[in-house]
Amino acid sequence: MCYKCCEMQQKPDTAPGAHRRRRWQALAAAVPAALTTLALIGCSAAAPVNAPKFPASVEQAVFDQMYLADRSIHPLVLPAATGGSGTLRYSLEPSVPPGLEFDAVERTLTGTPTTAGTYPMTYVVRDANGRTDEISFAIVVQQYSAIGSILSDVTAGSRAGVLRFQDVPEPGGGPAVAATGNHVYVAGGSVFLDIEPVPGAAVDRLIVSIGPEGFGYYEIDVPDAAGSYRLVGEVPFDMEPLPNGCLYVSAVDAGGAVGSPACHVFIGADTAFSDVQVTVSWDTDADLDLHVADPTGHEVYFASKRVESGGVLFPTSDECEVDNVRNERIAWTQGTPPPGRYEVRLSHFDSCEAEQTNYVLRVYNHGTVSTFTGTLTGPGDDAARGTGQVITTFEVPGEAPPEPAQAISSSYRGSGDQVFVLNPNGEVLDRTLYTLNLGSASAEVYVAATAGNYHVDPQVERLDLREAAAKGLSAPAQVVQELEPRPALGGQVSPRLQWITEFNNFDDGPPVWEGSAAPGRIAELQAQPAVAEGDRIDFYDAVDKILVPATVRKVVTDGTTSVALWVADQEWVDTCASRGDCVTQEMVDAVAERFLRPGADNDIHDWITTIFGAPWGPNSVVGRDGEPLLIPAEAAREVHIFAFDIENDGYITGSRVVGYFTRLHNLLRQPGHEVLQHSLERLAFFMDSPWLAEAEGETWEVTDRRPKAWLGTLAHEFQHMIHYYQKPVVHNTISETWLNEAASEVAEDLVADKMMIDGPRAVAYDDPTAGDPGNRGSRLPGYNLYNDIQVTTWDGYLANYSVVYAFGAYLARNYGGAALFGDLVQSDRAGVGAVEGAVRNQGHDESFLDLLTNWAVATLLSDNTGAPAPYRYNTGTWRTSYAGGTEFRLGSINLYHYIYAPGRLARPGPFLHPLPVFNERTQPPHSNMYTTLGRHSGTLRLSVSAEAENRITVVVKE
Amino acid sequence: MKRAGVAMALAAAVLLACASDADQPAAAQATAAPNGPAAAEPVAPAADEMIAVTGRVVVTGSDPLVTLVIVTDAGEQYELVGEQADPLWDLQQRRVTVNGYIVQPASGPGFPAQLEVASYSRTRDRG
Repeated sequence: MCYKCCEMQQKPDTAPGAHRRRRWQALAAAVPAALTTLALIGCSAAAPVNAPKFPASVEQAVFDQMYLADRSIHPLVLPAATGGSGTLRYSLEPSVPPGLEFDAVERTLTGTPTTAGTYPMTYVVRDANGRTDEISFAIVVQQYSAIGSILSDVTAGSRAGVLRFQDVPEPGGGPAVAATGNHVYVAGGSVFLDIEPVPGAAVDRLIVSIGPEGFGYYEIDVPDAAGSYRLVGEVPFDMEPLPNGCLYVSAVDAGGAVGSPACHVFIGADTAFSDVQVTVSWDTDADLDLHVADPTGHEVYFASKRVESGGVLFPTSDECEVDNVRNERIAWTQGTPPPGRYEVRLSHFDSCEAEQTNYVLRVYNHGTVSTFTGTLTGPGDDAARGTGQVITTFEVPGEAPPEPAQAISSSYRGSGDQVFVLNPNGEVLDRTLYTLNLGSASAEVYVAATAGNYHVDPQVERLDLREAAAKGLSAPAQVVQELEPRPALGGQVSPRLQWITEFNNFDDGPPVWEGSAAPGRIAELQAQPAVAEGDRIDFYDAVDKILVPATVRKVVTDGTTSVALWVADQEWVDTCASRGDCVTQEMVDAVAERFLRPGADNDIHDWITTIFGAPWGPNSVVGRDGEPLLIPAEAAREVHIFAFDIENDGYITGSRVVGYFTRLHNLLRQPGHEVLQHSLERLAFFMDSPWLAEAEGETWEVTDRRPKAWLGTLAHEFQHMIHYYQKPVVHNTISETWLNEAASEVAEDLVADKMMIDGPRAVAYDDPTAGDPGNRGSRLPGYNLYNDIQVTTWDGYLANYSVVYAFGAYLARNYGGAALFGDLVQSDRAGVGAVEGAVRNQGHDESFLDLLTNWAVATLLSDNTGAPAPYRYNTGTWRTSYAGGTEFRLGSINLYHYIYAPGRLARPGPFLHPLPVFNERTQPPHSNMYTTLGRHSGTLRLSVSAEAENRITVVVKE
Repeated sequence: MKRAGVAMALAAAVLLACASDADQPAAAQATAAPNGPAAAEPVAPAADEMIAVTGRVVVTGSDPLVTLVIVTDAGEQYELVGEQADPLWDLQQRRVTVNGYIVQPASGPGFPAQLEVASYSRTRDRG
């Protein structure tokens, strides 16, 4: 049979490209008789039974080959035939081009062609009885030229460029042009160049070259019309390493005068050759994504740039106009492309404001080139795995690999709780059959999905029992919890959110980076006497942006450090004008001595600095003029606590802000600056006085509920103060809010028993157990309800506090407690990196994704005091850790004891999504979500899908 | 307004050309108004010059006085301000490219330069 003629009939208009068709047409014109004869034989005659036969996929695998003269070719392995009798013998007829050799045993063509020309070839297989099958194709050997090695073809619309093997014509008074377009040349890609002649120029043809030093040029006839010309060049798939240079375009008028060439810079991407390559190029700043799914089930795309079969995405173009790459290429540069069916898809992720984007997508498959073109419009859409428009599919010949293992099974040991991570190493689960053997035991089965990578949107694609049923598998009854919809997070938003924008905008005075602090200010501060009781000041409240008169009501010292407790005058008992209760000397004395007192290891200041480090110290931050920007190290001698009615809202009717820290006062005062002129130039944080003053009974006690919360907040805000010094000042890194708040919540947790307050777990400070069921206190009810939101984000919701505390409490109880959080705050890394580094310092090697996964399990097993490491929220006793020789204790946490309060939603334990919601929900990065499959025995089968950035964990509870 | 000129685009592309097959091209980063003294000599842009910054969006500081910033791979920070910055609160921990104008230079640690956002686009994982 003749694959060639059938191939030609089946080929779409867009594939292969114009140059390829021209070559074939030229070939057909040169040898019409031979090809026609072969075509008639091949296409009309049925192959005899038992005759040798080439596989059907060969029609896509062998096509005409184009080689450059004097350049070695990539070995071409021709396909094997099946059937026939006796030994099959292969030949390439009539003879290969000069310089090439055909190894009939290995069916491989190698060598270096020496003579340009078109060589029609017939690949023949003969069996012992002389029966044959054959494939016709052509080998085209072109003379080498410099431009030809960079661009294998150039066209202007329907007009094809002709490669002239001549010296580049010298300019001589012809029309000038300007050239704009893509700069990056990628193997197999296309280059878009827009050529703009000078106004009024009459252009007859264009010349494209790499300059007079490079032999050869393309000549393209163009219509002599006003306007610009769009040239499209094709980069060879076997592009050699390309030094940066100029592509020169010059215009020639009808009289033959050549204009000055315009240089358009090109840069070659360093890519390796492969027998299977797919390259897409486009002509705007749009963000397109190329996806290629290989026969083994792997998909190469931006979130999976390298797959097991050897497919690699490089380069990528992911930055709109910023990177200007405008190409993506996927090639099997690492190993042999697996045989079978490949699917090529193109996703329009972001238009980047381009009205339309034209693309050229080219596929190279063992010498066969197919070209597809198109135009994309609209704003762009999602680009996750499996998305994108299918552009083409193609087959790579060879023996299909065995079906990938698409089955996982686990066996429950029959008692207790057990954990099965289905893809612990990031294995992609694609409708993977999961079998859980429960035996005769009756057990509750939960599933947790963990999303890791913060650069993509991982999600669990399906955990569909119905699909298992459709496959003839026994699907258990689906358990869907009847739950009221949760209140939207927006319903819990604090009015503080509105301040955020204001705060962002308030710093709009003259810049201080230029160094406008008063000369000698540091020396003045160093010589400044300590504050004394009775001193007065109007301090700046950065939240309400007002000045608040206040007086020092207490100064205590431990011999090294002092703390001054200021109270706003209108909140002081003698001049009370507060909307809540006012502050008395008894209150000030009680809280001051808990924050600082003589002796070691006996107050909030000691404990928090022991864990997290110093709140201030040496710094060398200066402005561009060399003047210091920050207060001197000596400022650490005094910590100032300002008590006033934050937001002037009385008790807790407003934002529930109990305290805040602002870095504003750590900067030197800047006279004339709208905000920095108000810097106190001291270590200061701010506390809500009505919280302190609220009594539970007729008399105020420091052990009353609100004052105790106030004491805990002293530790919380003090950690923020330390965090600012340790992160942005000492280590020049950012202080991510989610981590900063987690550290402050854990600070309260770590010192709760020492301070004799209940802390954020809301269990009696001296109770090491997880307390009693029905707990509605503090942070953890909110975690139970919103346990599926992103940990590493901050939106000012109470739920954010709940989730970061729950995560921090988990880390502290499993990875080193006080020492872990000291490392974390004093790390020169930010956010996720700081967590991973601190965990590593404690002797563990879990990634952040591992930590999230383990946290999910710990959440589900928090009612099990025997849960193994690292799933220990609840051991039933203290978890101890040490920092600076001081022991810190953390009580147990059982999340099933906490109840989210409102109405019919009230229920204990972690929120579990109904299975359909679990399957459909897009999971934010850095989050967990949970579902239950109910109680089962026997065998449970599931169909599970997950990305490499997901972890799917099955938790079986007795 | 798109990023003007070819020079910056080529800077990124040159890095691409030097990268190995497995590497990613490094994105061009604006060098104007870095976050602090640890950065190399800051180059202040002209007041009306739009710059493009690519990096990760995070919220920094402590509640309630938090700041939305973009952090480049080189560690430079810009506080994102203006109405067009609002949607970026929903893209925390994601990579974006922000086009905008510097409206306030950096004041010191925790006070990065303010970038008034004119437009933004999501970008990709850099692996």
